[in-house]
Amino acid sequence: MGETKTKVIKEVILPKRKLPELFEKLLPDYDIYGPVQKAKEDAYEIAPGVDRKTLDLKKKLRGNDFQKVESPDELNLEYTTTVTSLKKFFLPPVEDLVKFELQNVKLKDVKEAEEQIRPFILFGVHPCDMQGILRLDYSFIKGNPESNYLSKREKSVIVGVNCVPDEYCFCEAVNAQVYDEGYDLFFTNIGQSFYVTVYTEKGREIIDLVETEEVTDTDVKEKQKAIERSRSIEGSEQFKPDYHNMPLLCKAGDSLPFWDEIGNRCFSCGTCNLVCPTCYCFDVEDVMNINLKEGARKRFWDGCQLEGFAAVAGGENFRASRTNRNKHRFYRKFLYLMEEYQKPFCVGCGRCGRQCVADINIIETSNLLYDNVEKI
Amino acid sequence: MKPKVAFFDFTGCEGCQLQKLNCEKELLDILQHVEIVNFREATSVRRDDYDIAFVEGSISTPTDVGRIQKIRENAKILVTLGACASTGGLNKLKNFQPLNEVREYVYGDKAGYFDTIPVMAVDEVVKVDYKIHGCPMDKNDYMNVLKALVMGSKPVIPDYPVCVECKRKGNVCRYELGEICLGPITRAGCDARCPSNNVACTGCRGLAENPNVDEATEVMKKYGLKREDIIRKYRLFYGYWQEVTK
Amino acid sequence: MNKIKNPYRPIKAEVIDVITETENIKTIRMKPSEEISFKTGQFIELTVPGVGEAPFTPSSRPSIKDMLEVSVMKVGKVTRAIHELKKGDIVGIRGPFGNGYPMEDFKGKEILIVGGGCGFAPLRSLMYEFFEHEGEFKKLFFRGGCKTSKNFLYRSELEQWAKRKDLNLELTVDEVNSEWNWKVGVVTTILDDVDMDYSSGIAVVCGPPIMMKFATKKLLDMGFKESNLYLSMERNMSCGIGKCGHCRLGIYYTCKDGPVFRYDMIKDYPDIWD
Repeated sequence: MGETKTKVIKEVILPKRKLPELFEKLLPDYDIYGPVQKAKEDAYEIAPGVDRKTLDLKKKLRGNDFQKVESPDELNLEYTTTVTSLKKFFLPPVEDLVKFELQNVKLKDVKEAEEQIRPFILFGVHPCDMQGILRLDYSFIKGNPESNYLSKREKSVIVGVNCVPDEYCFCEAVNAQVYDEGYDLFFTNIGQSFYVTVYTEKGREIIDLVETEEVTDTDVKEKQKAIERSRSIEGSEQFKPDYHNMPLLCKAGDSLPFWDEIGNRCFSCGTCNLVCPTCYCFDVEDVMNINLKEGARKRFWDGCQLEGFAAVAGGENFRASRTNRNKHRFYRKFLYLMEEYQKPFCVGCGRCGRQCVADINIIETSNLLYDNVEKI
Repeated sequence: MKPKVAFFDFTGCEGCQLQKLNCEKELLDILQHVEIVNFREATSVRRDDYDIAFVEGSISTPTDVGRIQKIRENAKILVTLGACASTGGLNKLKNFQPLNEVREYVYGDKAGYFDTIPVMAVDEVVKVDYKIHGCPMDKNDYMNVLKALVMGSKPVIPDYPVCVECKRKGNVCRYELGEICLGPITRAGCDARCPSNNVACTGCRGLAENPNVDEATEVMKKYGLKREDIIRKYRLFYGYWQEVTK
Repeated sequence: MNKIKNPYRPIKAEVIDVITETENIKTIRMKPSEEISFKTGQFIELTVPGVGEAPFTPSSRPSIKDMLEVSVMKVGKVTRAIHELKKGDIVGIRGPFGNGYPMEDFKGKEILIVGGGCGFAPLRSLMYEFFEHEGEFKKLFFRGGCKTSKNFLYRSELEQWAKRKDLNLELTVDEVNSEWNWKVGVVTTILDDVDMDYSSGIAVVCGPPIMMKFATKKLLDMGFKESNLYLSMERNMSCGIGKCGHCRLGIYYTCKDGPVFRYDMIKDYPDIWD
């Protein structure tokens, strides 16, 4: 886990009709989670300016979320992105850190928040999300390894699948379209079958549960075509800068006026942070049961775009303006952590842009930075 | 010593009072921690020696003003329950129409018997220590404030927008579904109850701290809403905030 | 698995004394259930269970392992609860966290300590460390400022220190509202008479952000090197292990890489003061 797994153990063809059998054999030992179309129902009142056709397409491609499934029929593998990133499996939106026992409102004992997690499979992970998990691994293992994260991560098996990109995607531009790092298995969708690449022993054990076929030359060609399709994004705005230059651009463009325009639009609602696969900030709160005898210290997903994020109890707020908070988010991805990790801490999944009600997106911001720094 | 608590109601639907009684599972535990000395809907005891006063409903008659001032004098801590008391809530809609017309519409030819004033949230009349927002108020929100007060600590009232809780829940954004939602500018604390049940946020908890209303207006225009539609949306629950409802 | 200890689990500590220092500052003396050794300048997270956790730099002697003290200003939810603590109460402690003061780098040097308000708390611990290693440092100057004379933290102890031969001490307040025999004015007005070689000397600054900002400017003007300015940065440290993100300062986490930073390390980052 965490290490790069570039070595291919073997490659086989799995006909799609075999998938139910594979699931059946896995379910006694694993919980399986995969992309499920969540947005099915129509909204109560669709706004007058909304085009019906794009709406239905959006629901199918973007209205998905990783949920527990019992059968492959529930899956929607032809998806662009899930609403929430996969961090929710390792860093849940709400999680107990420790438990307290109190007597007359005074501390009696501190206990571990015991939690039993079954081994689980994330089925249908896209390259951007895999890269997101690898970045979380880096942050949660480096320095002070965190037991809460690790205990879940160690139980996970990751099955990748190639994606259906849209105009918000830019994984390739940030070097996150990686097919051979982190997965136990990778499934390339080649029509009636999956072209399965096995990267780990765990992956081999799983794929060996069912009968597979040998790879033919046609399969190899089909696989390449499929990967090409996952690459091309029609009508997308190009991410202009070379990602290697992002730290330099950030430093050079810090005082450019476009940052204020972005700040003015921002709702400070934290959506971009919460849906981001590489944002892991959290807030901690003690929650007591109503009997006031037991309680837990819980952590919640938090976001640096929220107004109070960098405020201290004394009243100072170190990032009181929306502009500075927007810069902070961007710099964390393309400057601070990038200088440390050598790769952007953004994986180009596009979730922040897609779900931003104010339509602030990283491609646009990066291009504004690029164009305006050029002019200086 | 258990803190003595009292409950009072002003202009409102009493839905928040019901929410309190809906805490059936927790009711006995609550009674271990507090002594209820005044609660019209639940007990015949009427005493004025309370530490904490929970107030529901808006101030909408001259008599209300005197009553709430008296409650403030008696209480060490005053907590408003629900939108009507905390922000004026739906009742504020009245203030956008001529008072006499409203009065006649409601009371017909008996209107003369009923004195009325523009609707006010409780904090427009007296100092409020903590506000529990929402229409109706959220049970958990109420429990959290109650627990904190019993423990002698300061309750945490969220100041950020509903989107935070909505994203923690993994909901598909209402805008992705083509619907207008006031979540980005509305105060959280409801655990994104409406969007989690396939309904857009109507703003019942009032505005979040430092909301970007200008952008919300821009977005709604982009989604094809006319100015008057937008103002109507804002007036429903943000009536207490003149700026957005003009 | 689970060889790694849960980093969020506090140990218990008993409150053995509560000292009222000023109108809004109390010192809590605690006896941890396990020995805690901290370096001066490191911080701990103090838990009042059911209410929450907040970071404090101990103000006591690092060489004492079975007792520690924190001085707490009442500003928010957790500090309010801490002010309610009584002798015999049990609290939780995590830590120590962060880097602390690099005492080795200070050896043989002339050192100016500039403190403001609640910033005296970490500095008291630092001064104890200096005093315990008397002779290892060339010259010590202490310049302390506070808003009012009435609310001067550790005043009697500081006035005792003034008698020490190894220390040159001067104090000032913005406003005199009780008996006061020291200077009046902000702390930056009492730095000019510090008789040391600024270009090679060390300056340690700890106080509210606004005071730190002006003190830093003043010290640089006086000729102190950026790399000889040690600042205790205030941020809302929460997890203590560089995860929760609240205390991020450029490439650093204040809780893990700080809270003591050399000015040259952080000067180029935005939002360092406010």
